[in-house]
Formats: sequence, structure tokens, C-alpha cells
Amino acid sequence: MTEKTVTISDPGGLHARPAARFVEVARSFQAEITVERMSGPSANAKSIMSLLALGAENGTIVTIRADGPDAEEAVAVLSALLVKESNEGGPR
Amino acid sequence: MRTLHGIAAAPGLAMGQAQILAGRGEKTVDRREISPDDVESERQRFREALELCRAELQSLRAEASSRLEPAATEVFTAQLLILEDPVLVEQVQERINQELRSAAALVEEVMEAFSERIASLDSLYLRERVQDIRDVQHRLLRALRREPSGAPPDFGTVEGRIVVARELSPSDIVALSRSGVVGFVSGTGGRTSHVAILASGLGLPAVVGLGEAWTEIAPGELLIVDGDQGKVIVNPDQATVSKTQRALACRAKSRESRRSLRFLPGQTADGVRVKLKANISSTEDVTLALANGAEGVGLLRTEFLFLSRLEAPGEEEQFETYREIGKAFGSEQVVIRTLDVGGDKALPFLSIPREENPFLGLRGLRLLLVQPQLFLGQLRAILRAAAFANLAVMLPMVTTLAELRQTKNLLVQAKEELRSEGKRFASDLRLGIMVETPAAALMAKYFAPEVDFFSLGTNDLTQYTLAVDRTNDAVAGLYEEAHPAVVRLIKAVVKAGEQFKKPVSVCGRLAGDPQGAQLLVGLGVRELSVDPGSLPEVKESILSLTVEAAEELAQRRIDPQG
Repeated sequence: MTEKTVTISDPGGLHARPAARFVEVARSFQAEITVERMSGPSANAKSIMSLLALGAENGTIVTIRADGPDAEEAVAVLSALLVKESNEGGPR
Repeated sequence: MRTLHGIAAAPGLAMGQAQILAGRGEKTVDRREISPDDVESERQRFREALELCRAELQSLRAEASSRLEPAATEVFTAQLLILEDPVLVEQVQERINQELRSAAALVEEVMEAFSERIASLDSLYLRERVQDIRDVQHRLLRALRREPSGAPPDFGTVEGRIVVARELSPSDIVALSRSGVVGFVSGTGGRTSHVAILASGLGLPAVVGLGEAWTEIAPGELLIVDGDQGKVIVNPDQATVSKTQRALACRAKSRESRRSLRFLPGQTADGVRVKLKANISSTEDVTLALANGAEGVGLLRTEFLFLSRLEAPGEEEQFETYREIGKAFGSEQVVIRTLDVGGDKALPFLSIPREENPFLGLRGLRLLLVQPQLFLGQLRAILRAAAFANLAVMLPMVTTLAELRQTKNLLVQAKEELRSEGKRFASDLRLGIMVETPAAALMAKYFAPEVDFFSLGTNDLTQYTLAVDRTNDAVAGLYEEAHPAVVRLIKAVVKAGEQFKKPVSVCGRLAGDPQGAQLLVGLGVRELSVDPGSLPEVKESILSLTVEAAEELAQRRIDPQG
């Protein structure tokens, strides 16, 4: 079991678009992965509806837990997705 | 005559009779108990329904990507994710066995529970996503009833009419647009709803979020939908009807004339050739660019191949993608920009350190030069693809000559490798740089002898010149791509290009704005690259322009006091 607690720093929070990407990435791992709000509900990271129901927004603190052969990589990649996203769009 | 006010969700104007859409999803759900013997067949029924819905959503997505803006296809990608939600699938499968209830009853219960939880959250944006869950739920329930897909019969005649409903789903919008509907009005929904995205993509005006006022519209009443201002006029008087008819005729005419211009080459009214190319960011954009008469691609952003994945794409995958895109444009050139990411855009397979100031950090070419394996792989793929199509390569975020020379060394290395491996490649691949920093613009005449072309990225050039982040509301007002300081830098690059006979194109937002495009022509730019959807408008503005008028316009921007 590997886990990491991060503060979401994405203006979109875990709203539809970032959540969709998060789920797609989560599904590429074999490990069972959950996202849990501090002292609150927890969601299956591969379930888009559970994630949306979590209502996690920019600034929400969540813990990502994974259990399985690729757990470490899963936690590293998924937590990076939550804290690094920003500034999409426009030719740069 | 009365006016109802809602939210402007998709721009445009439409007039037609109201067609009220009856509420759906109220069909009886099969809630019977099943016998233990039927567990397996009920599960099988559920699996078949999932399979059918998946195929339907995939074909809707394909249709959306060919008819709409690429962003609209995400709507159906999101719905596919909902359909394949493992919690939904597992719960229904297990509970059929444990509770001996029908798949339909369980689908309804599980999905309703999610919808209610999400709808109760204090976020308008999330509440709008519930629409997608309900849409998938109705689709699944219909598939479980083994009813055929397509437009439900209660749509009635919609040709030339305006569809009014409490709620419209993304699949309704796509299905209705096929049957000739001219506009949409709904009680629910907001500016960011999928309905808004889809209707805009289809070019159909929509006013949403009317609240209960939508029920005041009776079937057959004449409506005017003003998708620019977010209002609906019910039973307009004769004067308003005539005025609207004139406005509609006028819009239709300009649309028609733009369409007829589509395949004319870009040139000014006095016959000076200005090539109009497309900026594209995915393979889907290729169709859109060709349909809008693009004369090649001035900017192929390659990030789509790298984002949202755990490992860098292999050389073969890149080679094939570049080759296919290049071939689609025949003899016209496709300019491929090498990967342009930095600390503000995450790539799971590159651990980019967190930076205080990513826009001044390790990004664009700087990042590629510290990741030579990644860079070499991309250069090799482009070199190989260029043997099959008219391709060129362009470097993002260049500030110094040393960076350019380092890249040239890598290109030499890539060619040597390919030669020794006996692989086909284009030894004469053209290399250009993006001019996005004031440094590159001011030093353009020193870069000019060492490059084959320049491409001005006016968005970043503006941000770096004016020291303004246009996404920061507090200073966004200071962001101006036609600012004299930016215009002077552009002029410096054009001059360097003329002196060394190296083409200068512009691929920033300024080129996609009809007035901005005129200004650029006045500055001496003869190649513009814009988003596919902006091509007709930009072409129209160039065709109506003389070089003399454009030069006057440019002079006034260079010297606003003069």
C-alpha cells in the first residue's frame, strides 16, 4: 500500500475535464486506487462518477492510496496530475 | 409579443415555431424480481446493453468530430467514461445476483444515487455534469428495453423549428441537428453545459437556463432565439418579424459568400498573394482544416501525442502520425513544431521540477535540449516522415543562437543514425524557429542566415514584451497583441526575413483576427496560420484589402502619435 496526500492546485478542481483525464490515467494502472477527502468520503479513482461526487475543488486536500504491483508509480503519476495542471490552451 | 431572458449558450439568430419536447426517461422501468435461474441471462442482457451503448457513443463521437469543433467530441468521451464506470458495472453485476432484481432497476438506482449526490454539491459546473450521467442512464435503460436507437419518436417534426424543453441532452442535440432544427431553448443548463458546447459547434443558436419560464411557451408559437444576447421573443409583432427576417437573410448571405471563397487562394484585392494556413492540434483537426480550404499547416502542435499518457510515444507512432497528416495536405507544406511543454503542463513521463515561474523556466526548446533522447526521437520521426510528405520542422521558445546550433548538431546526429540504419529520410528538411521572445525578434537578422523560415508566435511574444499574463484578470486589460511595441518587433522580423529572403509567417492569435490579419499584411507578412474555424473570416478580410490600405493601417500602429 502506497499513499500520498496532496492539495489540489488546479483551477478546475476535480471537475469534469481534469477528472476525465485523471480517470483515464488511473485506469491504465493495475493497482486498486482510491482518492479520499480528509476525514471524508473516499472514491474509486477509476470511477468518474465517484470522483465527481467527491466534489473536490481547487485547494481540497486529498489522499491517494494504491494497492497493487504498480502502486508506487500510480500514486506518483496521479498526485502529479492533481498539483501540476494549469494554463491550457492557445498557441504558445 | 413577450421576451424571456435566459443565458446565451450558443451564438446566432433563429426564428421558427416552437416544438415542445416531452419529458423523457419517464418510461416505466422494468422493476420485476428475477428468479435465480435468470441471473446469468440478466447479466448477459446488461453486458449486451453496455456493448450497444458503447458502440452508439463511439459513433456519435465520430460524427461529432467530423461535424463539430474538436472540443465537442469530449462530450462523448466523457459519456463513454461514465458508461464504463467500474463502480456502476460491478454494482449492477453483483446486485443482480444478491438482490435478484432486474438490471434496469439497478442501473436506475445506482446512477440516480450518483446524480443526486453530485447535484447536491455547491458547484454549478458539477451540477451541469449530472446531465451527462442522466443522458447515459436513459441510453442504457433504452438499450436494456432493446429499443432501437436514433431519434426517439416524440421528437415530432422539427425541421425549421425551435426545440423547447426543460432539459436537453448532448445526444438530443446531435440527433435533432440531423433533422433540421434551427435553434434550442431550455429551462436548465448554463454557459459551460455540454449543450452549449455542442450547439455552438453545430452553429445553432441556443438560449438556456430559462428556469420555469420555458413552460410559458406553447407548442406552435412563433419564437425568435437570440443566442448572442440570451433572449427568446415569443409571438413577435410584425415589425420584429420583418426585422429578424432581414437580419437572417443578411447573415445567410455573408455565410454563403464566405463558403464560396473557401477554395480561392488567399490574396489581397490588388492581387498580392497571402497564404492562409491552419494551426492544428490533432488528427481530427486535419478534416476541419481541409474543409475550410487551408493552404497547408503553419503550426502542427505535437503536444497531443505526448499529453495524457504515461510513456513518451515511440518513434514509429510519431513517424506514422506525422506522415499521415503530411500526406493529407498533398503538396502543401505542414510545419511541425517540436514538443512545447514546460513546468505549467505536466507530462507524467518527464519529471519537470516545479518552478516558481514556469513561463520564464525550462520550457519549449530549453526543455528538449536537456532531454536529448526525447528530442532525438521526435527529430528522427519528422526526418523520416518528411521523405513521404512536404514537412518542415519548427522550434518553440528560442532565445539564443547557441540553442539553434545545438539543435542543428542533434539533427546532424539524427541523420547520421538514420543513414547508418539504412532508413529513408529527407536530408533537406527545412528548419525554422518560432519567434516568441523579444530576444529572438530583436536578433532576427542574426538568426536569419541560419534558419529556413520564421514563424511569429504573437501570443507569447505579447506576453513577454508587455510583461502581462493574459489569464490574470487583474492585468488582462493590458494585454494587446497589436500594441506598438509588439508591432515593432514583428516589423523587425519581417525586415530580417526580407533581407535574407527567408519567409516570415504568423501563427498567433493576431493572425486569426480579421483586423489583426490586415495589420500583419500591412507589416509585410505574406503567410498567416490560423485556427481552422477562423479561415473563412480571415480570408474574407484579406480579399477585401489592398496592400496600400494595409500599410497605412500598419504605419498608424507603428507610430500611433504620427
